[in-house]
This record gives sequence, C-alpha cells and structure tokens, in this order.
Amino acid sequence: MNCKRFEQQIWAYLEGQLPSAQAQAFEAHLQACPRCQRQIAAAQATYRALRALPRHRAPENLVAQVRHRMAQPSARPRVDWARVWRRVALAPALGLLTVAVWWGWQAQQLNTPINTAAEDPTESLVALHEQLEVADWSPSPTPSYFISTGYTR
Amino acid sequence: MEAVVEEAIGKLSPKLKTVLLLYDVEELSYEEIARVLGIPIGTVKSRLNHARTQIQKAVAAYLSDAPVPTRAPSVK
Repeated sequence: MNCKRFEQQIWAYLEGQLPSAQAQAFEAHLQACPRCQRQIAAAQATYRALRALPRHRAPENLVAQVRHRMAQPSARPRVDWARVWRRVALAPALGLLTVAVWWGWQAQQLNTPINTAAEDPTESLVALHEQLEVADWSPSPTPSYFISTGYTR
Repeated sequence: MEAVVEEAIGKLSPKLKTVLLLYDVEELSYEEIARVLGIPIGTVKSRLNHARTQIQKAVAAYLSDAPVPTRAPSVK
C-alpha cells in the first residue's frame, strides 16, 4: 500500500468498513509511515469532533406550545399607520401622473396634422376629383324600382 | 478543536456541508441522504469524503504548525 491509497481508505478504516485483509495492509502501512501517522491522527481528531457536534432538536413541548397558541383567539391585528399613510400619499401622486399623461397625449393630438395630404391642396383636390370620377352615380334600388321592373324573389 | 472544525465546516460549499451534516451529525445513512437529496449514493460518498478531507486539512494544520498536504478526491 502507498500513501495515496492509504488516504483514500482513512475514513472507511475509521468507520470499520474495510475488509480484514485491507485493514491489515492499512495498519501495516500505518506502522511504517510517519506521514500517514500524522494523517490518521488528524482524521481521528476530525472524526471525533464531527461526532461530538451538537444535534439541534426541537423542544419537547414545542407541539403542545403550538397547539396552545392556535387554540387561543387571535388578537386584533394592529394597524400599521405608516403603511396606511404611504398609500394615502400615493393616491394623489398617481392622480397627478394620470392627468399629466392625458394632457401630454391631448397636446400631441392637437399638434398632429389630421391629413398629411392637406399640406398640399392641389394633391388633395386631384385625389378628390379622381374619386368623384370613378364613383358609381347610378341610383340605388328602391322598393318602387323593384315594383316597376317586376322583380320578385 | 471544536472551533477549528466548525470554522472548516463553515467554509465548505453548501453541497458538501449538507451531506456532511446529514451523515456525521444527523446520522442519516447513505441511502437516506441519497433519497433526501435526490443524488446517487456514490455522489453522497464522494461528497462526504471530500468534505471530511477538507476538515481534516484544517485539523492537521491546527495540530501541527505546518499544514499536512492531502490529495482531495474528485467530487461529482
């Protein structure tokens, strides 16, 4: 066994998980290697210290305390005035913001030209003239029209 | 010694610390830790060995003035 193999088996040895043949080889190396003797001394101290760490457990009467508290009528909730005032102060601020946005939108609408073609009156007139030319000027059918032509469904 | 160990535990990554505390302090088995954390048993053993080795280095440095070099195993 070499030192690298020894280090890999330290924890298995300390927990008694090494097979007897490997444990004997481990101990033989330990007897002959001062470096590994220091290693296992540190490992043993670590192992003992870890096992001695306190385990955090809930108090024995914790369940009884919780049940007792749950059985008691709930106290009236305390009013958080600071929170209330923050909300009261927030309302007018939101109102002002809404008015400002609306005012800005209105101002933008007033400044926007309704029809960009209106900037050039000539083009508008030409377009209107073309629309008038292609328009269908025939009279729309009326009930008297259908009667005179003898139209039936 | 306890302070050295606790300080070394505090320096462990959360993954290593969890496995170490579940095994060495809460005394859960490899199988229980693997089931609780949803990781293979081999990963539990690897993380435990890595965590212990890191603490062992701190303890070795505490026991002797010069730290004892140890080879840390790979962790999945």
